Amino acid sequence: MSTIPTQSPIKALWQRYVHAGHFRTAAEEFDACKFGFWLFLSTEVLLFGGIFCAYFIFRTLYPGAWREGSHLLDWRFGGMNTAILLISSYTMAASIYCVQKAQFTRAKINLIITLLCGAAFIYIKLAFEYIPKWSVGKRPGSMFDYPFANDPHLPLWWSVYYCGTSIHAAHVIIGMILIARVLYRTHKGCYGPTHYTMVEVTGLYWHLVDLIWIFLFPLLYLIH
Amino acid sequence: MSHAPAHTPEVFDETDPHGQHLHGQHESHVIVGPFTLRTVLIVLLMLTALTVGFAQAEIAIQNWLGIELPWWINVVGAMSIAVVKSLLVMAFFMQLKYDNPINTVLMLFCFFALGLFLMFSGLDLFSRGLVYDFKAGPVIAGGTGSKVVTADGKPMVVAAADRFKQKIGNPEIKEALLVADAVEEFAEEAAKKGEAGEQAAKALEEHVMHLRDLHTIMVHAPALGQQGRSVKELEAMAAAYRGKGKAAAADILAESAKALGAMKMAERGASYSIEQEFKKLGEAAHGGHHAAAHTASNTADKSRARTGVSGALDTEGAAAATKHEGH
Repeated sequence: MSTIPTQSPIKALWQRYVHAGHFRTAAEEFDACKFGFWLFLSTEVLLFGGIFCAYFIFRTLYPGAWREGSHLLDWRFGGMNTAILLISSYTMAASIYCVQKAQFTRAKINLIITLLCGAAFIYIKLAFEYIPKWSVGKRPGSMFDYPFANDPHLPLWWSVYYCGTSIHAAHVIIGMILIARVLYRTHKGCYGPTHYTMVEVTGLYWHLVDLIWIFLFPLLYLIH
Repeated sequence: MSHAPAHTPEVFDETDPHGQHLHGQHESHVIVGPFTLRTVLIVLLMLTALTVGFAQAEIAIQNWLGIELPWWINVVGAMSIAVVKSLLVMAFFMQLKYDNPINTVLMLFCFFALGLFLMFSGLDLFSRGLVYDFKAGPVIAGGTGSKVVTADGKPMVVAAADRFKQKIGNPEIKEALLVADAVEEFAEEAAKKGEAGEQAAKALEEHVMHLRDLHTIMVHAPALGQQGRSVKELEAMAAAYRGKGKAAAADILAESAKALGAMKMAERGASYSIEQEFKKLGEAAHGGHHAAAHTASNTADKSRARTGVSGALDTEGAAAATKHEGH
């Protein structure tokens, strides 16, 4: 039965993609996926909301510890990481644009830059912040061992600091895994102008990571 | 169970990626172009520079005019810039501006929930004094820390300082600190001997900083800083200076090395005081721009807070007891 003419028998994966059966159109599927992801993002905001709330309560109760703590952080590392995340957010958004316009090489380059930025963020965090601080006893809660603390509540400051930044760093690592997956599947030809839901949703996750850092940076490093 | 595809891929239309014209039920998805994205990135980077500049300027103005600005200037400045930045990220990078408005509504509701969360925390925090005004005992700067205690009942910061003092009392570290004191004296003497002396003093002070480095002491402690090792390091410095043609400074360094080698550390150890060394290490650790402010304001505060701990414990204990009776 070869009555149906086919223009090109070999098509890319994204061209062959058909939306799930319970959606009327691909657009409906895309909107539903995105709405679901925004719902998930709102729970993420509330997860960090708990940490922001802890920050607010302890800062109100023990302003001296917070003042001393923020002086023990170097804004240059925080600022550098802010710039890195903002640039990576841009490259992520640019890669979505490239996929939408079928510029796959540029999309992959942008995704690789995003991954490198994520790695740089984690490197700065570990090499210049966590490891040197931890080794001199600037640790959270009962692990606290820094001998030159002036304020008796300094261990609480480090609890909030490590809690906030390490949960954020975990999000950076998860985001990098998702981006690596998108990179691999873009290379395989899974995403293209008619099907890019996963690219866009991964982008949303990565922007949320950036969004949280936009607040953590001034709260921890700049407010004193 | 068959379903029609959203569009026929053969007739792909770039301006309508989801083939919505076939159904006409949705608005078309907007593609945000690179020019918009780049502009937003540049604005975001400028705002980051602005927020850092704002915080630095606040410190500079306070130091320059010798005044203390109200705390909220710092907080409101930093947070309002953060809010503007996050709105930009959400509107353009996350495309809420072009997206289905339901997503924006969802996020607004989420922020409303976050606001409620913070508001009720604030309501509790700021009204405690009104409800339990009998609890408001004497105010101790920085709180009492009585809730942040170790197993033996000491506030954690006091316990950490005690552990550290114990550590710097051990023979290897004690010797390293005695050597640091001796080298510091050499540096002071050298600094009086003109230009070459100042060069030598700089090298000697660097060695002192190395010996008093907190990380070295807490992590690599026993492996570093014995007298013989320091003598060798000073000799190496002298050789390096000679190599660079600074013979006069090299001579001073070599003399210092010789004098250090001849010193009897046991004799110097007679005047060794852990408290004194602890203070010096604290100054070295805090170093840099905020050291001055810290030592000036905190030496008084520290003694007050530390001695205040036991007294305040009683107050809080009494308050807690009152509360229990109330229930």
